Amino acid sequence: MVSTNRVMDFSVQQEDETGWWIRLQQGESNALAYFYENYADWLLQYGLSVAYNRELVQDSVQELFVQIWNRRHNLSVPQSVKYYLMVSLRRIILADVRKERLTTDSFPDNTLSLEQQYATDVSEVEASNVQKLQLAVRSLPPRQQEIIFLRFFEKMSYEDISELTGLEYQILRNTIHRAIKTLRQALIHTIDFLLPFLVLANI
Amino acid sequence: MNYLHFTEEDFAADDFFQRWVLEADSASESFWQNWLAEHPEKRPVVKKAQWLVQHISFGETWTPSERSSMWQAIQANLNDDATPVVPLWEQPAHSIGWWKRPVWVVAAGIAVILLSYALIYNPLRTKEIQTAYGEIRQITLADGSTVTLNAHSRLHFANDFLDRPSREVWVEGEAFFDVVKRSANGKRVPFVVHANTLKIQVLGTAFNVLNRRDKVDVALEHGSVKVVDEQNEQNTVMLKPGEKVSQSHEKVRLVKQAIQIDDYTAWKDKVILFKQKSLAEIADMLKDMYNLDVVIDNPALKQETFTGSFPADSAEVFFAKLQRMYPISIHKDGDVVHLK
Repeated sequence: MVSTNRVMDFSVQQEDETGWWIRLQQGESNALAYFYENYADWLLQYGLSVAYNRELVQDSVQELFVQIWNRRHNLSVPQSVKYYLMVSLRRIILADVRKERLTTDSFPDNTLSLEQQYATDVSEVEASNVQKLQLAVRSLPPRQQEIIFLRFFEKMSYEDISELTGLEYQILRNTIHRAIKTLRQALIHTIDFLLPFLVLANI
Repeated sequence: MNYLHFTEEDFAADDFFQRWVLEADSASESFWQNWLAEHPEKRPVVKKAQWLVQHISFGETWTPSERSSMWQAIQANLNDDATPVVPLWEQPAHSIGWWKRPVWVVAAGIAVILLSYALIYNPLRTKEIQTAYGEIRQITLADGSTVTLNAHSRLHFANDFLDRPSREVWVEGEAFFDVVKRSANGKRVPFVVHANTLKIQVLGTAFNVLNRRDKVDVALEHGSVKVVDEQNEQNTVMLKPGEKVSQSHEKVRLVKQAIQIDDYTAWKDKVILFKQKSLAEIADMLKDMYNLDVVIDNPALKQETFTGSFPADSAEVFFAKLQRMYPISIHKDGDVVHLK
């Protein structure tokens, strides 16, 4: 069963964004700036999961915002702006990948900027392990990265991921299983080292 | 499902297990708590799987320069029916056009007369370039040097500045200089920027000058500059890239310190960047650059700090961000913005 209202969960400030979207359609470029400001980094993170190529993602994000503006009269108000941006960026990136036959499964290069700030309750030790985990995720093949992003970072349901990617439930499961296995292998020492802390932190 | 022989990968890849870790709804919560109580020996495996599922995250961000060059590229490709220059803050709907106000007509008339007088009789023969509130403009000087003039700023120089032994310009407000080297008759021609009582002497280099509210900041991107206080020539500082020097009326000497140059020059790429700036300082800046009066009605707020960026042509984004960070209400009354 495909549940459509889960898409609603996507946006935290739905009402707010609807207002900004309408202003955008009325030609207020401030509103375009608003969405750019709020989603540029998130689109980078998602875009890199679709194709690990920063330059390509950069071009695609630009194209996305130009398209939205230039076609604003023909667009309806999306149920969730975030979901709309996600679907559109994905379409643009995949079209470019197909066009240029870009190989996107290269290993992360040093332009990868890892998250610097963590919630204050995360210890120093754990922070560096989270970085290791991020690097390991970025070393996965692109399709695995995207599905990991959608499931674990965006907390989307399998049904919604299936709808977005066109992949069947069983394929998603297998892909996630394979990805987790690779991550576990990459972090084998890390996680075992962490274990005593984890068990003590009585969740 | 029999979870007894699950490894940590199996747990982490299991839909129902993920649901517990990611959403913790009551069905999964009660199931897994019970299951763990029945199988305490599985606790380590479960904890490891849990850690993995919880900590998958993505943290890449655009650099300020990527962010701004992308925004510029977007603006350049927008269809023309929209004006890419964004109104900084919506004009109040009831305001009447300035041209309809009688006082403006008189003032404009006087300005035209004064301007023609200045053009014809100006004894100093200087050229003056001024930016409006919210406007950023790039100027190429006769020698090929470029000056990016920030909002509400003024640059002037002699019309024949190229023929003089040194190229001299004066700046009020804020400007970023990218100076090209120049020699005439086998001699280097220095470039001098005057800001308040400071004299900044350079050959070929790039630096930012901020001259507002009786305070001057000179920040060097590359090359080298010499900064001299004209009131006291002893008071001289040489700057290296990534350093800045400040002069303010409360300090006699020039103060030098190391900086992140991007913090001082992001504005020229149309990004306003605040790092740990108090709201009081930000209010001053918005006044200087956009003529926005920001009134902080709650004194405790004045010392709250803000770190973040927003497009130079959209202060609204700044206020929207601010509102998300602090439990404050923002309301606008004409050109006055109240923060409570």
